[in-house]
Amino acid sequence: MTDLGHHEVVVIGAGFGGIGASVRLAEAGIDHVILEKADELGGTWWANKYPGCRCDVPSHLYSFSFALNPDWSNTYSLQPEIHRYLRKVAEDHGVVNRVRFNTEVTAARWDDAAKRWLLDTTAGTMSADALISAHGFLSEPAVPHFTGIESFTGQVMHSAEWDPSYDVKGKRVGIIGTGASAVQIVPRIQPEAKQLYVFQRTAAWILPHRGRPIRAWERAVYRRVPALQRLVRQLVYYRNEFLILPALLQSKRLDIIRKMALDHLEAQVPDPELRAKLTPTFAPGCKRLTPTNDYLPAIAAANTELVTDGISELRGDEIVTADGVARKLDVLILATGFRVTDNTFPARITGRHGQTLREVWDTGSMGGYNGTTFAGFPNLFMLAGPNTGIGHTSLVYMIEAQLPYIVGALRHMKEHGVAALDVRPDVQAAYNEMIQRKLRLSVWNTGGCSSWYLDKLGRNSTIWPDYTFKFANRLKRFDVECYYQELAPSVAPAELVYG
Amino acid sequence: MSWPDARNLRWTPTLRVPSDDGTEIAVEILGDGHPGPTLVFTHGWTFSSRSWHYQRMLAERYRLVLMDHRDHGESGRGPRENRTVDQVGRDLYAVLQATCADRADDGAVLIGHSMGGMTILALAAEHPELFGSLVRAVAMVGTSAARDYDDAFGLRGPLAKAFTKNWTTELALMVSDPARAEHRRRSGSRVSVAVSRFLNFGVKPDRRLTTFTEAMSAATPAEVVGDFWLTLDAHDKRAALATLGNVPTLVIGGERDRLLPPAHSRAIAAAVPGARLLEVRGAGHVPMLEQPEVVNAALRELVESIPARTTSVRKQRVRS
Repeated sequence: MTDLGHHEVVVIGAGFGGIGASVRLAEAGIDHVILEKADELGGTWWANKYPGCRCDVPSHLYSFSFALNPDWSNTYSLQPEIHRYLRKVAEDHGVVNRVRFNTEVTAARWDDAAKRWLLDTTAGTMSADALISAHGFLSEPAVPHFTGIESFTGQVMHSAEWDPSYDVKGKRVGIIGTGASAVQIVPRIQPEAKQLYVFQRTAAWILPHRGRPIRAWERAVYRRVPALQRLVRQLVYYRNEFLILPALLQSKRLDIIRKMALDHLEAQVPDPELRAKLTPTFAPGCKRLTPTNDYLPAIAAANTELVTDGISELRGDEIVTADGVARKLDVLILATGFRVTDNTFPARITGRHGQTLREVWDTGSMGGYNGTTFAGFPNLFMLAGPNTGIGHTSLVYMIEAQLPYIVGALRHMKEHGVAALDVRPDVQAAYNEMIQRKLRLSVWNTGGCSSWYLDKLGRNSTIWPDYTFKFANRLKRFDVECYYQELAPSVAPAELVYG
Repeated sequence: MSWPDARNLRWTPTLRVPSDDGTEIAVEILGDGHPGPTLVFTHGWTFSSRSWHYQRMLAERYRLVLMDHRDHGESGRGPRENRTVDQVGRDLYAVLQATCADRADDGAVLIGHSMGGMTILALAAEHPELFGSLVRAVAMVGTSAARDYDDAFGLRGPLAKAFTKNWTTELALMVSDPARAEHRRRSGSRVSVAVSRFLNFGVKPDRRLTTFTEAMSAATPAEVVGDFWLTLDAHDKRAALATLGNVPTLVIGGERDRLLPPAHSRAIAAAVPGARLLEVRGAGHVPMLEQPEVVNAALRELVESIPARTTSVRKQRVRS
């Protein structure tokens, strides 16, 4: 295999996390390279190209604080615009030159003798003092298994593996799932398709969408007065923190959201029978809240059928439900989301005890310290790691909060000749206990639904259970006292050089 | 766990182990029934085994051996010329032989604070063969391998000069005229507690801890304090550090240690191959008293990290 050399830091993934990390690392003068499995940067905003793909977080907030974009054309941007934004940030900050495209990390192993990470990639081997994994938890399509799917004669497409050349015009389309992707896809394909079957296991809470185009004069103002856009961003941020988060955390005051959603449903779906099917049985917020104004009308359209019976098998070109009804399909769309708590990327990372991160997590729950570091995995930093997810604000904020912490750790290593930083297991355990205690009353844990926030043990290993500015405060300073340090032998403090 | 009691420093030894020069070393054994390695604690200059107050709770899970150094605590008085780091290293050897040698399969973990860490290095210098056989792991708390620095207790300017001068004259007096030095110490006074607090503690120590620590030091005769100071001042055991590389080694240093600043811990960690360093934020010279939960968790981790013995050894033991 080709030897691709050594870097101080290797960043895995060139999405929001990898690009942000690269900008901050460059500022700190830390040598690094980004490995990206695709041939283009953007991460999830490059992989997801299904029709209607759109961020459900306001654009002013869903962007880097150091690179506000006055040119957003909509308060909630569509995927191509977000991708263009990321591309521009990467170009403006020289990140693109540091990305190695078409390079997928197949294995990363900690070499405890050499105190470095050894990487196998599809392009060759390399090593690094530290690893920043920005692989993303919404990167691996979750594909449910159905009997007969191998012999299904129609096309099968996951929302994250959309074939843009595929035309649904005049086709009989089936779509499985009613989550964040499905509510965006359905209204876009319903007018084109001859017949649309929406297979629903649980109805989702649909909120009115407040998105609107940003007018040219507004953009002109933002361009001239960046402080104003910063203010708008702050307003959106604090509104979400103080109005939405407390409701989700305490499972209180959810009636406001419930009423808003039910009114929305009543206004958009006149048929009471259909409305009953579309009324969720769990507390709003338990699964991700999905705002959209055109999903419900699309469901109510004449060429759409909402199927609530479970799917029992695929047979030839038909999909058969539990009640025995067979429906003919040309294409089956899987809007079934991602493997989050069972993401397999951690299975490629092997720590100092010879166990992979996946194996460690499988003995209990996914977990780390500050969502960033993992006991037994020295010099590994994960962006958007365990319990950094949120249901009310922008993940970009969380990623940005992690960056000073990681850069602080790397700086500490350089300044003090530290070869390895390994978080104390007792600190990590106490941290996770704190997280779980805070989540006990939250709607994700008590709302009566199964969601990708919860793992197989029913523990919530994805959500940050507090104000996100508290997370940012926690991670402002690198807390070296929470880590075991291993020093490089050559760099004892000058005044005490031994030997 | 309750606070240590400054008025109750006396204790009854489980065992009195005669050292090679006949001096009796007082030993306390706790958690005697537990299998696995014995944790052997060796304390610092002017202290006693009572300084491990909060580590006693580890007896819930491990067998503990706590020793008082000669001329300290409950141990016997030895000849004046034997008040050296090398001698306390031999005392530790005697204690190990008496308490752990008959359970060699389970081994021992040596935990030394300040002068106790130097004691472990003295043992490593004379008996390197123990490290990796009987001794399975080492923890060095707030200690140093060599006192070859010019430090002023974190003070600067004239204050540093004045304090250092006073410090050296008091210690010199303890050697030359112990009786007068003892009188001048004014043990238990506010000033004495304040000085002890200044030297030993980091951020905001509880009064009960500072009075306890002062009382422990005050219980150590001036002559002993002075004599041991001479040996500590000349101490250099850097050559023995490599021996610690044969076992998992944990180095704990208080971020605000004035007596042996963190640079000493860093230097040990850099010189011992594979050593892990833990810097305790806000702690001074006595992290095991200041932040026992941190130190105890790290000690537990250290014990759990000991590589499992090969099964052949166990089998042999079963056969024999």
